[in-house]
Amino acid sequence: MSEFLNMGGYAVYVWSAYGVAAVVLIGLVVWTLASLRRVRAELADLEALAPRRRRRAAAASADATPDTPGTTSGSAPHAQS
Amino acid sequence: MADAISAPNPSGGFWHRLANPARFQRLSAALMPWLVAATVGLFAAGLYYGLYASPIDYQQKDTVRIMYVHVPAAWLAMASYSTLAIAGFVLLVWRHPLADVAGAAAAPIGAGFTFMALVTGAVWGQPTWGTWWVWDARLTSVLILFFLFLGYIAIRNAFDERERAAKAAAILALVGAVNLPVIKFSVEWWNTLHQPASISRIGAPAIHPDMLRPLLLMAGAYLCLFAVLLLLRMRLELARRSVEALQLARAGAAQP
Amino acid sequence: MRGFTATLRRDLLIARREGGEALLAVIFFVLGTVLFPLGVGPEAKLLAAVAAGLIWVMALLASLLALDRLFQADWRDGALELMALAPEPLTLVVAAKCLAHWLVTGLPMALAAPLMALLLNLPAAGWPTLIAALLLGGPALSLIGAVCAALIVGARRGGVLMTLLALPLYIPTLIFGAGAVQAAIGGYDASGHLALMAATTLASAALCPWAAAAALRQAME
Repeated sequence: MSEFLNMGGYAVYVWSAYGVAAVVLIGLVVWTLASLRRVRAELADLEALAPRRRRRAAAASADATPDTPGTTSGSAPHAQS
Repeated sequence: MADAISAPNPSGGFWHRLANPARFQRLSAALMPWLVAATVGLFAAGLYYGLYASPIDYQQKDTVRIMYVHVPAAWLAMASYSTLAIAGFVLLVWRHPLADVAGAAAAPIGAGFTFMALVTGAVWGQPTWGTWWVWDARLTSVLILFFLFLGYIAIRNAFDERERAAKAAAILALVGAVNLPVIKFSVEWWNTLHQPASISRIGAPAIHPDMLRPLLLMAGAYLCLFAVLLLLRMRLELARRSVEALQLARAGAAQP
Repeated sequence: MRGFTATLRRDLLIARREGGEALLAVIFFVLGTVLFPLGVGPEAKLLAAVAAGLIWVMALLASLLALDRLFQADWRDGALELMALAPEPLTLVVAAKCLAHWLVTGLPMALAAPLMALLLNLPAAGWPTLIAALLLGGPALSLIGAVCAALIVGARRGGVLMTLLALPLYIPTLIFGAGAVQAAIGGYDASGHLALMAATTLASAALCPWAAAAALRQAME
């Protein structure tokens, strides 16, 4: 077992590399899931606030393709900085 | 500019039916358990073989095991960028509404894999070549790829208008995709000009089958994880857009 | 073709009227290069070793400086929209603007290159190749930069973002250009590098105006 951990004397390098990989990959998963939870909570709050009629209308506009030109909400034809 | 295809057609082809976010959610929810299972299984097998049941390299000894986390990361970095390029192409040519969602979702994942490839490459370089960073052709190309990802994310955030951001990012991804082979070629050219003759490249060409097994297992694991993360982030992006739509509706209703 | 020459003439006229602004890129080129001996010391051998790459990096950065203005001014006063609506293809208009940009920045830099070479103690063997490489590669810098400038038209902090986008794409030009000069200094044949450089420029001339025009069009939708 200790030979396994020692990695022929290169323990620092091998385990650091695997450690970095683990941190990045697990970090990506955790970050994504946490963001999902937060946004879903926000969505639930907003849907609870909006009355039923407006909720259906808002849901319809969210389901519709966001790519139809001219209907992207809030965008002026030429947005200048 | 009139476009031929705007709203998803319920009786249209598979891809168009998929454009309906609700359908996408259902399909991705159905796929998810299989993908997660595959990811876990492949990681378990890959780590077992990579860390334990595979031979050590004659010269590099145990540090060769770093190859099993480094090389797949570089591969997935390339795969992620290809996803950006394909998503951009689909957006510009077919205007598929999920194309932009996929691009936005894939970018941070790709940046993460690229970062991983760079750091594990550096860690591998120290015992192998005696220095933390080497201007090896592959590492240099991955470093440039990292900047391409950063540029993609930056240009997405530079515009408030979602459509403009999506299309600018799409064009950038395609321009980058065309340039990537040129950049890689020029970096390899540069490397051969400046390197003394025989510094063995990381991941030497003739690879023993016992080393190939953990490499491919880890690559498969990374790929399944990429798919899981991509679907999750696409759901995240769609949820964010719903929130935006509802907030706008509320703001609109609140005005007298 | 008339649209091409008309746009070319217009841009050159504007550059001349703006006077100093067009020269800014060249001044930056020289001044930036001067900073290096001040930073690393005047030892002749050290400077000679890094001169080729240094001059090329400064050429890249100086090119970027002038690119900001390529489309922004026309975008702001609406001239870009008129160009897009005109019968001449936008691709041709963009190509003309790129040529004007090179004539105003890239060409003067190539002509200033002997001064740079002198300041940095570049061996004499490399001088002709340096000028040739800058002449061959300068248009590529203008063309590739134009695509990035078109992408960020109207964006906030577009200038800095454009730099981040353009520099990775400039790398092949840098490698072929600096490589050519270093080969010449070493006594080797630089024609392979110069051929690759020429190929990059030709490919850029074929593809970049089209890509930049596409980016401009979606900016104006």
